[in-house]
Amino acid sequence: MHAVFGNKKAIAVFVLPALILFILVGFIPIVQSFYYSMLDWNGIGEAKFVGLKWYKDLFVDDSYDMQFVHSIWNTFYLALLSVCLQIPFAFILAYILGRGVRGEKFYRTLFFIPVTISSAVIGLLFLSVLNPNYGVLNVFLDKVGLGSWQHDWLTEEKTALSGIMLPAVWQWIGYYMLLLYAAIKGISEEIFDAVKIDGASALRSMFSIVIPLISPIIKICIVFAVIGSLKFFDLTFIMTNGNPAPATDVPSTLMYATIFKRNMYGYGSAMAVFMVVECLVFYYILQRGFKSYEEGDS
Amino acid sequence: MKQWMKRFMGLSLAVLMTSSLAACGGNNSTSSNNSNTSSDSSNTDSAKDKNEKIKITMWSQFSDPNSKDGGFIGFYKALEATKAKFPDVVIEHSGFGGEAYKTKIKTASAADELPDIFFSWGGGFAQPFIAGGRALPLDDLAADGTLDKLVPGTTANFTYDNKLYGLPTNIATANLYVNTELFQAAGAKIPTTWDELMSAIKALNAKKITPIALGAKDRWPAMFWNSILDIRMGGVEAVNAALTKKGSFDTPEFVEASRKYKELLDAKAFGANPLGTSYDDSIGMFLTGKAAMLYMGAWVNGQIDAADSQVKGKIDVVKFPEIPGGKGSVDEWHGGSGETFMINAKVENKDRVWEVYKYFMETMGKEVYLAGSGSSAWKGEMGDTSKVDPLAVKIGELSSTGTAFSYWWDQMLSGNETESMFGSLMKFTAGKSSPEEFNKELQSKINPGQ
Repeated sequence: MHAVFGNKKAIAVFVLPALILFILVGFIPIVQSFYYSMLDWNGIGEAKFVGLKWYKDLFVDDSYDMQFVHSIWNTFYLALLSVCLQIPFAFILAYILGRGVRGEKFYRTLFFIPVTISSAVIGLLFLSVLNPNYGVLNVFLDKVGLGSWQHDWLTEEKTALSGIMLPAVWQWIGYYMLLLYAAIKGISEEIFDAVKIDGASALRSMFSIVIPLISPIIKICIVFAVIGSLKFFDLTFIMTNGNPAPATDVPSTLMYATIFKRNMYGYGSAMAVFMVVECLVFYYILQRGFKSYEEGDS
Repeated sequence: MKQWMKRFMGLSLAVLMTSSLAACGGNNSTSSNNSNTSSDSSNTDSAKDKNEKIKITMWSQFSDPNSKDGGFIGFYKALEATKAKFPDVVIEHSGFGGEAYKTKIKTASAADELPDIFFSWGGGFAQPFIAGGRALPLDDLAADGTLDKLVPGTTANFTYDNKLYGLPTNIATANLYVNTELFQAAGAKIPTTWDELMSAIKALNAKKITPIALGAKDRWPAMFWNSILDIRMGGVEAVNAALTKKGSFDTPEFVEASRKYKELLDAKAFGANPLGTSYDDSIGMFLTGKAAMLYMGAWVNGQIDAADSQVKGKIDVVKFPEIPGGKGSVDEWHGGSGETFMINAKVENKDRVWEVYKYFMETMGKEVYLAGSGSSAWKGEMGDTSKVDPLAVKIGELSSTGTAFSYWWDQMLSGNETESMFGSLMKFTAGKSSPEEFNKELQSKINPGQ
């Protein structure tokens, strides 16, 4: 084993297939997009080189009134909800399940079900729940005498964004729960016994034992949640398609509309490139954040 | 390439012949089959390409053969008829529904992988295909007398730089459908004037009946109302001029039209939540008798008069009322001919494909009419019309006196302009901009620098 991994050539041979695949379907398209993003091109006809014009238009001119900057804030809102609501909630569920509760397997499966359902189904499900005319939510409010609380949830600006983001948060709780649950299950029982002998409460053992021990998984969850929020697409596309613009627009729905509806491949590619860069930057910031946190800890 | 194609054709013919003969003859020995097919294929070679089997690929938005939509029924009937009429042509059709089709055809066009014949909308939608040289100009081919068979004006949306790129099938108009039973229940009069429309809305609302079904969530149904009000206030000529960059949206007439639209919204004419209602929801409301009016294209006829429809026989259709002070007459229509099929510029066997295409388009025009969705853009006998949907006949009568047509905005405008137009319209419908601001925005986005 050691001989194989000591051999640089052997490593190269084993890495090569995956590397070629990644370059072909990952790296080259990104470079290509960057090139397209400097063209004024409808995807079919002649392309004209315009340099960084589209990037300037995204953040300064906004000639097509798409409010791209607002759409970025929308994804930040989702990222905030994910980190502050989704992951803590997933952790609590994972902790309860992981420390033993009757019907553990049953609940584990139950909470994981939304993850296995396709986003299209979830989108349609919540569309009918939030429908202003016959949706369960409005009907319920009406029946319990709170008719004045009724809203046209997905069309009123104040509620539309949350109307999409909360289902998204709900959908993925099970996923993070499973990751954290596996991590908690991996902690040796002896540690808990030792803590118990030392007289620590359940709460104390959670903060002093469980969270520090599973912190690598928590970090991964946070990275997934933030990056996933920045690229968020499916539920917005299915539920409101960005309307009432710009209340529920996210960069990826704008990108889709720009390329496929407005026929502006260059402009859309500029959005795509921005999203790639944005995700990389956030990944870097998060890693730095974790590192300084660890250094401050020790 | 040619050589290869020929060999392929010969081979596929041989396979087809073998299989068909095998099917007929049952226990025939394979050796005799082989001799048959080889002689046949040499025959076709000598007879040039007259009887050679050709394959035509075709894409359309008609994805569901079992749909009750008249357009779909007509399409599939015409497709079957064409297959029967040209036995030596194999038509391979693939259908993709709605928005998916638009994406599909745009990507295929970008990659230059379009099929031989493809469904397209006229106006701005097809502009990139034309500019990219993807579609075949039909002027020379259509000079064989085909043009004389068409209703005048129906090719306007498929003509770019004075070149024709598609034949029309049908003339689709948007019509005001009224549920006579609900009008009676509310004691309202079927509107023939704007004032009658407004008082009907009041009477219907008093009875807790949604006056007008509108699925503004899907954006384009709201556009229909905006367009017809613009047509009634400014006239078709002014609307078409503005859409084709020869006029302006920022005129007193169009601002007044937008005020009328706002008046309707304020009067709760479209119910409490038009923005949260999708097109399907709105059609559902009308078909279950929850809404009294619907301004929609003739393609809903089939659903209204379907056997299981709850409103069958209770629906009448009227011309959209005139607005006092408006320049548009009651005989100006929103609609026209805007759906077509185009031929790939790189098609092989151009002349034979044209024959098939021409026959198909004319048949589809008639079949769609017989299925009750819009009159045919082709002149001539329609055959037995006794079974045609009564609403379609009525619409045919109403629109026969039509003087001018203005087509759907989202097809007339380019993709980019359409998105901007929808953006402004949704903002206006949600009450976030005034009639003046809305029309100024339209002008600055669609006709910038004018």
